[in-house]
Amino acid sequence: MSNVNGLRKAGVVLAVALLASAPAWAQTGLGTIVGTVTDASTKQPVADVVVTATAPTLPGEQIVVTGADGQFRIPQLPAGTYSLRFDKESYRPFVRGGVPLRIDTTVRVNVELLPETAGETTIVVEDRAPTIDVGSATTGVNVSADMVRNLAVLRPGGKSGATRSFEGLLSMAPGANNDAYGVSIAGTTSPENSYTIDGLSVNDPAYGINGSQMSVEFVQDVNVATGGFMPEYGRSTGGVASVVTKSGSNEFHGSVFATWVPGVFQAESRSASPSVSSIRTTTKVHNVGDFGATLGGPIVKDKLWFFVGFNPGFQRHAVNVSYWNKVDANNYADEAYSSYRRFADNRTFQYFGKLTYTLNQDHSFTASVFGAPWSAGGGDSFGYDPQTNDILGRTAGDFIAGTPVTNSNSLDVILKANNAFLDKRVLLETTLGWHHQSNSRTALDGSGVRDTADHSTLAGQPAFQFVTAGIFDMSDFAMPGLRNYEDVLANCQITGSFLPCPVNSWVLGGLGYMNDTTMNRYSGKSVATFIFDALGTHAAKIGIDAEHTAYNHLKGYAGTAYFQETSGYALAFEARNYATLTGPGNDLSVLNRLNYVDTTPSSTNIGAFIQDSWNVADLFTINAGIRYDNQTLTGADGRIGLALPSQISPRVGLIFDPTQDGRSKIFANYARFFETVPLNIGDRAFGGESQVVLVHWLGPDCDPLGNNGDTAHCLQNNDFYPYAGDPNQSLSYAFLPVGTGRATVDPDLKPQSTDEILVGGEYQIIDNGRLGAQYTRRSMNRIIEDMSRDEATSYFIGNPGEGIASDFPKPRRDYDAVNVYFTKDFADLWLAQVSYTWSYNRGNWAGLFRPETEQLDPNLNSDYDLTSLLVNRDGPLPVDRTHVFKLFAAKEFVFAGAMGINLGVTYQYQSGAPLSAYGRHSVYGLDEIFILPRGALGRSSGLHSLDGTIAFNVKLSESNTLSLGMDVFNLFNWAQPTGWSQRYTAERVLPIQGPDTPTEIDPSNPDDLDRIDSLLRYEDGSAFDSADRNPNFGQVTGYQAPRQVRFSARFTF
Amino acid sequence: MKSKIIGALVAAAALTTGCATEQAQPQCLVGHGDFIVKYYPKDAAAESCGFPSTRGEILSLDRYVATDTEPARLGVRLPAYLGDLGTQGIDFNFEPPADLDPRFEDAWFSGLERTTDLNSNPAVGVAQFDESDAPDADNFCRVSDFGFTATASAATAPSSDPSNYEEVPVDEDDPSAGTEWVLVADYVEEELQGAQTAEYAFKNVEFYVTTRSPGVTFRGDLTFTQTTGGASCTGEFTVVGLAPAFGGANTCATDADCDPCGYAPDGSYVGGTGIIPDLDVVCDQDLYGGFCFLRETTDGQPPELPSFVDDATLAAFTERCQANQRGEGEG
Repeated sequence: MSNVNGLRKAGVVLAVALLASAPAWAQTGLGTIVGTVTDASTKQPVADVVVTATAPTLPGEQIVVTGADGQFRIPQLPAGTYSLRFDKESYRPFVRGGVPLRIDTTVRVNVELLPETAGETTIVVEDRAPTIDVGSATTGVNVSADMVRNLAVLRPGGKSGATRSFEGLLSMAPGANNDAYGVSIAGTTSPENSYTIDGLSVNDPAYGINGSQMSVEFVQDVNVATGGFMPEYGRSTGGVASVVTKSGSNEFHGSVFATWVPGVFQAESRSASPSVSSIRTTTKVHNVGDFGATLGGPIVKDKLWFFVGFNPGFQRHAVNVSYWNKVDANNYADEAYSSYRRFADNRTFQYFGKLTYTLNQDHSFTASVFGAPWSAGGGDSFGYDPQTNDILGRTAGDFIAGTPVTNSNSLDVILKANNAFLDKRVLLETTLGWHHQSNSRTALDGSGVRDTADHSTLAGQPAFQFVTAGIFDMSDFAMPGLRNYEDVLANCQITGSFLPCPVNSWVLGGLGYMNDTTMNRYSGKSVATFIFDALGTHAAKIGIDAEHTAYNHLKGYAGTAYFQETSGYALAFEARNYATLTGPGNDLSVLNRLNYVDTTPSSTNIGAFIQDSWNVADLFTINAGIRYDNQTLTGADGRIGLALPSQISPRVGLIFDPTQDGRSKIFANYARFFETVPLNIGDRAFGGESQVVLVHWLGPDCDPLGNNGDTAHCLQNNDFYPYAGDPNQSLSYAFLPVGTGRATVDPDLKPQSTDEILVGGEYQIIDNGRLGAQYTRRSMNRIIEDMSRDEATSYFIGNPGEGIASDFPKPRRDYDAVNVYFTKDFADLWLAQVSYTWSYNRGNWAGLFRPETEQLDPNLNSDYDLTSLLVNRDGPLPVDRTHVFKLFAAKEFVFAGAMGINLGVTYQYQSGAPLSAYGRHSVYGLDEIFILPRGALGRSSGLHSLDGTIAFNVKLSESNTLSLGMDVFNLFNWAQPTGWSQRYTAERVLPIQGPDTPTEIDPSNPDDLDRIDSLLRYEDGSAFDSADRNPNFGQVTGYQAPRQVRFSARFTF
Repeated sequence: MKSKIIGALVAAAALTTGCATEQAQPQCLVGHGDFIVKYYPKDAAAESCGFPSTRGEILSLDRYVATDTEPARLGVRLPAYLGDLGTQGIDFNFEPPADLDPRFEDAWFSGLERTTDLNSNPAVGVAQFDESDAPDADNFCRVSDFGFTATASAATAPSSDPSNYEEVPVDEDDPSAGTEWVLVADYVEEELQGAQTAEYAFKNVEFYVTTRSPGVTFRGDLTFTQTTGGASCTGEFTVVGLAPAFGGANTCATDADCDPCGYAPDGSYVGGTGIIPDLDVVCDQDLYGGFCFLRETTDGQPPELPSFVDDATLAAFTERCQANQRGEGEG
């Protein structure tokens, strides 16, 4: 090797950095820098130049030497801002700083070195930091720690707002929209996304949603790929979110931080007041915050580094419940006659640790552990749903019996090795990991799913819900458990012809659904990259990954059953239970109630891929590859549930740089994506889950109102309405077995897949800034769903519209989007990301959950279950938003070197959501019937939001900074409506169809409603009575969250 | 070369983890609810026994899942004998008295009442599958012997006395509608002349069970014994059943009425028959009122199971049904 130290003393150099297209050889979570070194005078390639890469995020340094063709490549680099130094004897050394490298990208840095003999003349040619990923056609955004620091993101109270989880950052991507369980990407649903932390899949094994809510404090970068994935990315039909965690380096660095959202700064929230309820509930942030510290540094310098952090968080909402009484038939009193407040409480304690070991610059290893225990509710508090962060608990009914305590935990252990061989021409990346989750929902007295038959515990009390509109008054429920009982008695005495304190929903008894679950995923992945030259440069990859997932689910209903009152307290529909019939008959002797069901489905998923990225003359890059996946899902009964052996996904991309200087790319990509079916289907369809639906006559043996709210006695009631058949003909006219036995599976079942076509272009218009436009089309090839031909008695799994289910409608989810964007990475103290997306997403199938009811049963949702549910399903899908505009911009101002201010602004607009009209289905219940074609109610109004952030930084010393900041969400406290009641009726009705079916309805126009009423029929065919129309139909049910302020303090060293 | 490597890797991985390439076979499923069954007499004795040889009945079947202590079982409810299927338009061999004025016949049937409570009588029974809970290599699940004989018996009916009947206008406002005979309000009832009993003994019942056809068809042997006023006769029949029972009350007039596609050509949902599209089904007018039933390849002879349509027919059905769902069907 030449004398590097001597060379470093040489003077100014001439340098030209050229950016051109390059093969995609970036590895998962890592980036690659490539380039060619030429002699500035002869323009000939220079061999044996020592190229040294350093970055704050890179432990140690990476050194490579150029080959005979002058080319170099530095693979396996963590994201960061790089400095490259080029040294060679007889040339003046050159340092090229400020090279930003995002994860999963490849940038090219070409340089010219000036010979020592060239004299003192210095010519500086245009020199721009490379920013375009010239290696692939993958679309999306990269969210760096800089962006998180400078923007108001992760609003408190959202799905990931309390933990400030990375997941909330996904919505920054163009074409991404929030949905109930996360973020929808490219018209899909959040359970279809792939979520990885340092290469380990952290998807919830049972439901597909994100299973690890890692705080952004531990995150270096999040790459959100919204399309155009290479074959190495599998098991996703949505987007791919890859988290890269922070690492230690040769210097000790750390931070101490805290954030706090005090309720006192929250503006008054506007709340919806349903016209037929005397109970009004508002929720407001009381305190949300978190604090913690991180520390990273060397254990053995240049060899072994550590990074550790902890981050406890808490969340408290105030739930204000007020009781209002009517003064006449239509109007409520001006003031509530009584009110009370309770809190919803949640605590979490996140921790993270990572060790990085570098044997030499070709071999490095990391081991990391992340955990996030989480609990909510208990004592006098409401709980939260760990899947949605919705507040759980009962305000219209008995709080103590009806409010759950929820616990969840996630744990990730990741081992990773990056190895390079043969002068970095062969790279090997190996990941081994374990993802663990647990969840439980128990009663306030500590009783759980195993106690459902013990009627002395809260878990032993069946829930009993009152739903018939217009006949119940709060005075009906003036019994133990009613909060402010005396006030109710004093103010709700029925004296006139109207109910003074009407309620349209009330629940007696216990929790309903209870569970206790654990999930595990053991996974391994190995990818080898081969770099070789053959008519250009190739980066070929071959890889294999395998995972085994297992799910243990104990599930039951409090008191073993869930009752729903119907028909004006004449009948009680036993809508939920776990039970089997032991033989023919119509009395309790043949009804075998199960206290709970215990299932353990599992799945083995194996994938392999081969891909080549071929770069021709820095002009074209052709990416082509194929991925193979194989899934074997085993049911809870130990038998094969689904065998999905041959998932072949071709992926082809072409990247073309017309300017040949690396400042532009035009790309096109075709890809097929296959779904990996989450384990929930093994639990529910292949697990012996069996229900028996029945209807009780209310009377002496079942009368919770007459028995002081006791519901358990209804379990002994033996008087059944002939709900399920003809008494003269049926084996059991009282009992409808639902899902008896295991679902059968189409022997020709094909895996669920979607196709994507992408075309687009990007142009670098300023340093670190690029303007782009792209068109995306996605459509489903086929889906996997459960179906029933005998109206719910038995189910089969198939592909609707083909094979065994050829008489079911073909699934359709067609997504077209045009996206225009400008992205300026954080550099020169500012960043910006602006995007406008026009999209149209329509069909009859939304994805792996049903947004209409928030049913999350991937591949097992009710969409296709019964032929009677299939009508009026085609139209604009719930996540469809025609116009979406997003602006994120931030700038840092530095004063006198030691003081600084960060300013950031976020503005988003999205068009309204399609609205539909729902009715009740006889077996499936509320909101399952589309009484009009999907989207017939038009759209809700569009939604604006404006958030801002400001932070003051004081540099206390060279490496110590104190920062005090404030995020303001919904700066102007806009209160636009966000939800509308789409329940037309709570009664059992038939869908309206035929040529007279209205396709456009204005819910505020009485004539339109009368027209619906005239066409609507009850399930038995009789004409609909307008009195059964939901009085709240079309009314606003929710408003935009009000202004909230989050303060933050941070000391970094 | 690389594809070979990848193939080898995949194969190795598949071997070590036991990847499945085929779906699980179904268990011994039985269609839930009402089966329309048709009886085919095996000999002249059966023909002459007075049993409705060209007719069928409705049986209600269900399968009860295996528990820790019990194997999967089959529940059967025999035909609601003695005219109870009047709602379906089928009346079984219940002969009015010979001295009844034929004009009174409809009125007489309307007064027929069963005296045995079928809800708790032996017409309901439980049988077990022969072997395990899985179909055999030919996809059949067998019940060799139901192990019980069901008897339905005895009824009361109006006497044939003309004073029990009166002639009334069909429509009081429209004399042109004519008149009909109905029972008087206080008609005299009598034990049906000659006690009638019917015994059903099913044997060798085979359900065809695949994923496509989950126990919705069966074929078996029936020994039927009828006793009328002390005299009895016995007939041997072949029984063929199909679920769900679709028909009766003139809902099936032509084969087109047995279309399983749930959609009309204009895209509206009409419900279909619920019968799987694989089965070769026609509207069988032998079954009173018309029921959708398996096509008889030889007229009057029991169909062989599985009685499927050919692939081309099924493909044509799929295409047509999908077009109908899109509202693009040819009316």
